[in-house]
Amino acid sequence: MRKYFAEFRACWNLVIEYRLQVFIWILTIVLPLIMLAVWLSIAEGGPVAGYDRTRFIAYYLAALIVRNMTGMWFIWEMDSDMRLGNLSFRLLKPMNPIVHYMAIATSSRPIRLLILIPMAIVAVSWVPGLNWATDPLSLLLFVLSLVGAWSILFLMQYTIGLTAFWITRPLSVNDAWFFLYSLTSGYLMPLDLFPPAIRVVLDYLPFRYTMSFPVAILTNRVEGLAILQGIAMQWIWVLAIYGVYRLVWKRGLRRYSAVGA
Amino acid sequence: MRRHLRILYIYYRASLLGQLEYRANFGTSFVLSLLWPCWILSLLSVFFYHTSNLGGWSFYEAMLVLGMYDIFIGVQETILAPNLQQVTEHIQKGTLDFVLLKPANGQFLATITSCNLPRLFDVATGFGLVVYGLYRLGHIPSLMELAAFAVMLPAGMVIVYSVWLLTTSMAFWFVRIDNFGELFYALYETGRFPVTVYRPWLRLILTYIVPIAFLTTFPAATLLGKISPWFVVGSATVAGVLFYASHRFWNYAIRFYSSASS
Repeated sequence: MRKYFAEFRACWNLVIEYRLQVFIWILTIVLPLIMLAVWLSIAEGGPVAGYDRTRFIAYYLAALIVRNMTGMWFIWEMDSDMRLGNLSFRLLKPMNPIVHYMAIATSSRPIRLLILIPMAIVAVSWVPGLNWATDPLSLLLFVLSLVGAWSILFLMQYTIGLTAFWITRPLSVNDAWFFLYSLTSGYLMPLDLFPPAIRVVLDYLPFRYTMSFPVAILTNRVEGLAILQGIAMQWIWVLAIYGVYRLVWKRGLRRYSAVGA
Repeated sequence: MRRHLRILYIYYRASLLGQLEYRANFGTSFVLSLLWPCWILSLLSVFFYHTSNLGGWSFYEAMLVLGMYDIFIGVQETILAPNLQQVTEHIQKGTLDFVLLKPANGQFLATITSCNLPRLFDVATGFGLVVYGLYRLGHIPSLMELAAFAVMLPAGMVIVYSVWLLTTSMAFWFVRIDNFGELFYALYETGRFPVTVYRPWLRLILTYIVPIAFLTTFPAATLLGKISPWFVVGSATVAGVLFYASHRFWNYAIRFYSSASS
């Protein structure tokens, strides 16, 4: 267990070193804000499908928090690790390389929380009619849903990174992945606003559980049993993607050692 | 001037030859350059599912703005982003000396000689969107409109270049600026939609402080004849002023370059 902590601490130190970078990353979550601006201009003529100004603001602020707690970019590092052969060193360490990337994908969260929590408190107390969940139970469930969302996204990105065993540019696959994620998770648009025919399809994809669902908990749009059901669905997806990851990892590793690393 | 063009030709040819080694990369760039317009068009369709105009622009008019956005992102990814990356690497490693020692303008060599040609596909799809939008609107731009557009487009490119030069120069103090690039993408994102969508204060910022409106909204409006000729003059002026300012800033910043040897 100590070696895991050491790995996490090492990544945490990296985060502290590049505080500025983290700050800028937070700023780059600008696209949803642009979407919000556009919706607000449309909502000036009256509510859009039940969304009025405050509901749009409540939605997108919540989406921002979820994105900050679940967004990750370690695939860039993974890509260069695999190309430059650093993976061989990681394989020599007495732990699965996945731990290293998990450490990268979690280490910046405490700093983000330091900024997000005050932001959330200001939002709840200053924006009238925000109607966010504030009771401890909902907040706990919200945190649980974030863990599920993080796990789905992490396993997806890690598995995509592993395709580097076969193809030269896993980052292009990641682009295609982002295409799907950003459209169908609720990161850029509340899923309620899509035409009904498309909404049906979205229900069968894992992406809504990485954004739309946690946002719904925080904005008080889902309650009781539906929350537990959602969290269960998250873990079903986590298990499914974990299965794919194990398969890709085993096959890929065999291939990697066959090439002679 | 001719000498510089020749140098540019040699550099670009070399990098094209280098990139031809990775043919799959061309393929994926091509596919992705078609993917992103689909992505943003689906977002736009969702907006128009609930409204009939976006800040006074119809669906196909807004498509022209998206096309302009793709053109600029394409130019930026083809020429500006690779150079930003290269210059910051040079500064980090102290190897900028080798660039500055070469017998040509240092700013020229450091900021436009490397390129990522596959991203020119984006420029092509951008023009495709513009043409398709015009076709669906049934609007054929008059000669005046085309002439104005011919001024606005290069002016926009000079503006983008100058803004990037300003950021690149920051690397002399901050060394790690990869993420400034990200920050600019974030601001550019606002250019995907007609600037009239945004609230007045944001509109002012996007016009006068970070001149994104000059890149996408105004050129598109020019083609549609929605804008007064004064914007053409304004655009050229902004481009000139920014270019001069960024050039001066680069020359100032380079004095703070601490190379590996000296």
